[in-house]
Amino acid sequence: MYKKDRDSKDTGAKRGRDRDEDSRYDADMEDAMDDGGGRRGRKFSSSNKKKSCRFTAGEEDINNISYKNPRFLSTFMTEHGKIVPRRVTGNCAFVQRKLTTEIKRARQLALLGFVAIGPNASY
Amino acid sequence: MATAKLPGYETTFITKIDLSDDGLKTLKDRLIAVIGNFGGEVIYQEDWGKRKFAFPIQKETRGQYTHIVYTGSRGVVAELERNLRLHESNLRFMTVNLAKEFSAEVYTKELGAGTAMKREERGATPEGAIAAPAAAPAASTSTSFNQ
Repeated sequence: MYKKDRDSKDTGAKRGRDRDEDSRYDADMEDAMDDGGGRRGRKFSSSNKKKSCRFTAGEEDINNISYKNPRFLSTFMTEHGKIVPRRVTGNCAFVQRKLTTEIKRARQLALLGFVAIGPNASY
Repeated sequence: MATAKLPGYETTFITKIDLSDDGLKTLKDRLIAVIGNFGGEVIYQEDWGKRKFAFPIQKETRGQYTHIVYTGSRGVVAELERNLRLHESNLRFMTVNLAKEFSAEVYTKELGAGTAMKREERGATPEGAIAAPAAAPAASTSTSFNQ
């Protein structure tokens, strides 16, 4: 009798927690979709497509990731100058690490900004 | 290139735009002399021209970029950077290690892929964009000095 009660309570609590997690995932998914699709959104999207790294897939040349190409690097930054996480871009860890290094190098040479400095910023 | 392989470096430095062409040339000659003293040589040199900064440096909004790729024995970077620091028109510099055993041949071979985008960035012909992916398979064989 007691045991049964406890069991039912447990499952109830569990269900509640699951629901919480679900709602959190939903929020994440919405965030990711705002940024143009993300990995977490995949879990709930019907298309079930996985983002693969465009550099290792051969769509882009990995040698282009260089501080000498600030305009290319800026495609991996937000308009405020932040580095876009790989959860959004779908880059693999190796590429993301390289990208981060090169963006930081470009920042040192004032080719890219640390923050957006207004409408006159040309990059 | 010498028989014993020396490490390779690339340094980009920014000078004030009011530095005359002659002044820039004397600075470059001085740096080349320093590299020569350390048994190295300049493999590649490029002028990126005058560029607008993403943020002001020492109250300047534009600067003249110069990029050199060179080899040299131990201490060459320290001496080169010391010379740059002493120069009054120098705003900023950055050195990147390329390889511990630098091969000039491989570098010049890969140069086509590396500089293509840069030309595009400077607003020249968009040919670079087409040339870059074509040169990619050859370049992928040795990305060692690309860090």
